Amino acid sequence: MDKLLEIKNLHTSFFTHVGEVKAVRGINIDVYEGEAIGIVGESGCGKSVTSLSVMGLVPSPGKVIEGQIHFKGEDLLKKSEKEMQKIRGNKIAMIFQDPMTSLNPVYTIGDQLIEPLRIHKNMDKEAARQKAIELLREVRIPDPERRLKQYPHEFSGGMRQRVMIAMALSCQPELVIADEPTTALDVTIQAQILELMKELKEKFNTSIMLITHDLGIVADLCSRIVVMYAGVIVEEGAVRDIFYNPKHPYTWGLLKSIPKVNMTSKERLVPIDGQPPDLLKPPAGCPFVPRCRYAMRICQQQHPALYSVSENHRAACWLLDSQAPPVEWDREGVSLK
Amino acid sequence: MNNSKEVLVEVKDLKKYFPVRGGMIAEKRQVLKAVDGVSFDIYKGETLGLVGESGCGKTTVGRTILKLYEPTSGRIIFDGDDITDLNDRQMRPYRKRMQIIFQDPYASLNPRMTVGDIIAESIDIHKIATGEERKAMIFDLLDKVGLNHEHANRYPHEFSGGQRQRIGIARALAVNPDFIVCDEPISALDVSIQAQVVNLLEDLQDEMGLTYLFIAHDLSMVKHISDRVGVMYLGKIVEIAESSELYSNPLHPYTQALLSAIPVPDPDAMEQQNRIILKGDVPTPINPPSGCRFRTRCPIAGDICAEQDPEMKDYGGGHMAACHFIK
Repeated sequence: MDKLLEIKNLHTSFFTHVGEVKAVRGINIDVYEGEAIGIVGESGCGKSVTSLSVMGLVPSPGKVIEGQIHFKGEDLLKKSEKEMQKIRGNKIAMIFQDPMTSLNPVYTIGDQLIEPLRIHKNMDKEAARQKAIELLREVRIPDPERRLKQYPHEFSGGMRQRVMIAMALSCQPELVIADEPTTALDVTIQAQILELMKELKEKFNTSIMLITHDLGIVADLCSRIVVMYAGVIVEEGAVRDIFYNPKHPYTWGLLKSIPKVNMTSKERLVPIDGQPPDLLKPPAGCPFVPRCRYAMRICQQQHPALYSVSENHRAACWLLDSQAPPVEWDREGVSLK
Repeated sequence: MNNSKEVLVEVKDLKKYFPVRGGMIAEKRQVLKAVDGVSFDIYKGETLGLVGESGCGKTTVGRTILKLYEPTSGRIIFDGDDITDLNDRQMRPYRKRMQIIFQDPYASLNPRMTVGDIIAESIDIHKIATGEERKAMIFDLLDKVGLNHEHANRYPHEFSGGQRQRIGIARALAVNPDFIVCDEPISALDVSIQAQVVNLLEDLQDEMGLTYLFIAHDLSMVKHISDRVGVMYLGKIVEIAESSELYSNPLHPYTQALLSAIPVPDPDAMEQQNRIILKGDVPTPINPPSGCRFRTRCPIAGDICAEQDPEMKDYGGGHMAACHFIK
């Protein structure tokens, strides 16, 4: 498999009136052709800012200050706005979290679906209309001819998200970035949308970068996971590595704070105490230190490198160092050996 | 949990309709049937979970029980007293005993009041304490929910989502209530913070003998916290049972679909899961389908479902469900 997207040492900051908020602090992510990769983390961990950096859509006062984003070998950060417009929606498409606000309320669904086809694919009006109908059918919207003439407010939340997906797929992009695509939807509708995304991925061999806080959705759709915390990657690996053999205490905490499927009685949840650090003054060492039960002296002083656990599984934690005391994780609990 | 099995809240055939103005020309006054005939009991000391998708009426049920909305019909009996027709003044003594925690910790705290004043608002309204005594109560409440005493003089914007939810909980506890409606208290919080708040709610329940109505759409969290769970669809309860029973043996096709739709954070379990994908969207509660309301999306619906609304039947051990096709 070839690398489609390569994010190298990305730093994105927001220059607010109180100072520089370092939202993304040097991350590396590779996305291969035809794969679905999940980026997981809590609010403020930098996962959305990462996706906006790829799209060249970081809102002011935010700015990419360092790094490279290679898409099929070309650095997107060196492209002009005009060149980016040719890529956005065409080669890389985005599905946003909130389908209520990401469609323009004063244009019909048809207008909004036809626009990218006319611009990127140079289709004439009729051909674009036909294609739009086909796309709506693809995402299973009944009666697409009539629906094309309707406005977003005439659609339900789930249907709007389908329209967003149809739009994202209209130019057959090679990469779709989905930022919390189902967060605003109900569970049964979420299941429909996830099923649809899986199908379309198979059909068009599109790569998906899924950004979410929901570990369940990642388990369903993705083959690899990147766990982010306070602007850095703390662990990455295949889905099974992360769920069955996690190495970072933050990943342990995440997995233990959600109720288990087969939990019988009223077992107590194990929360992660405290809160993420303030990214106005990010800590010198590991950002997870104040909430970590296993923190050592070195953790406060120096940021750990990514240690390789296996070929594709890496974690940024000093516990993986040969000099650190051994700590074992199992699904029931974590113990100091 | 509920050895005594004493009923604290009894809801009988509760209905809540809202008038809606339709279109430019108001031909016919339409009604939105948010809650359309719901009955259940909540036992002392238990947590009853209420789940369902947006628009199913679960929040309306919670608010109507507290009489934040006037019920259209039906009866609400709190600790043996019928409170359905009480006016605001008559409700006052009951309001001390029933409280609510809201979903959005950002919108439910007045940004111009200090945390201390927010927490003490009901203490002031019910004239429970003043001066030093009031201050001591505020500190005590802050301790209970795991906040510091100096937080009393700060304003809500200085707090994170999880901390704000703790303030909301402290406010609810201020009058020493028996019953708290928790309306999606953790939906707006991050995963690691959700567990903190859920644990706090559980501790407080043990400590103070509280009874909860826990409203949520996150089914795995509801299962975790509830003794019994009711499932709502379009204004009606379709199934209610002990929580482990409901999750291991769902009877209603809607409950089955809802449970199978939860994305499980476990790749192996996910592969084995047999997903039931429902077709279409939830119909509008303005003109709900005739007969069984779920029939338009139901994988096993038959002719009878359009004609007759199925009744709730007991399938043993308090496991009730409303469907024509349960054997």
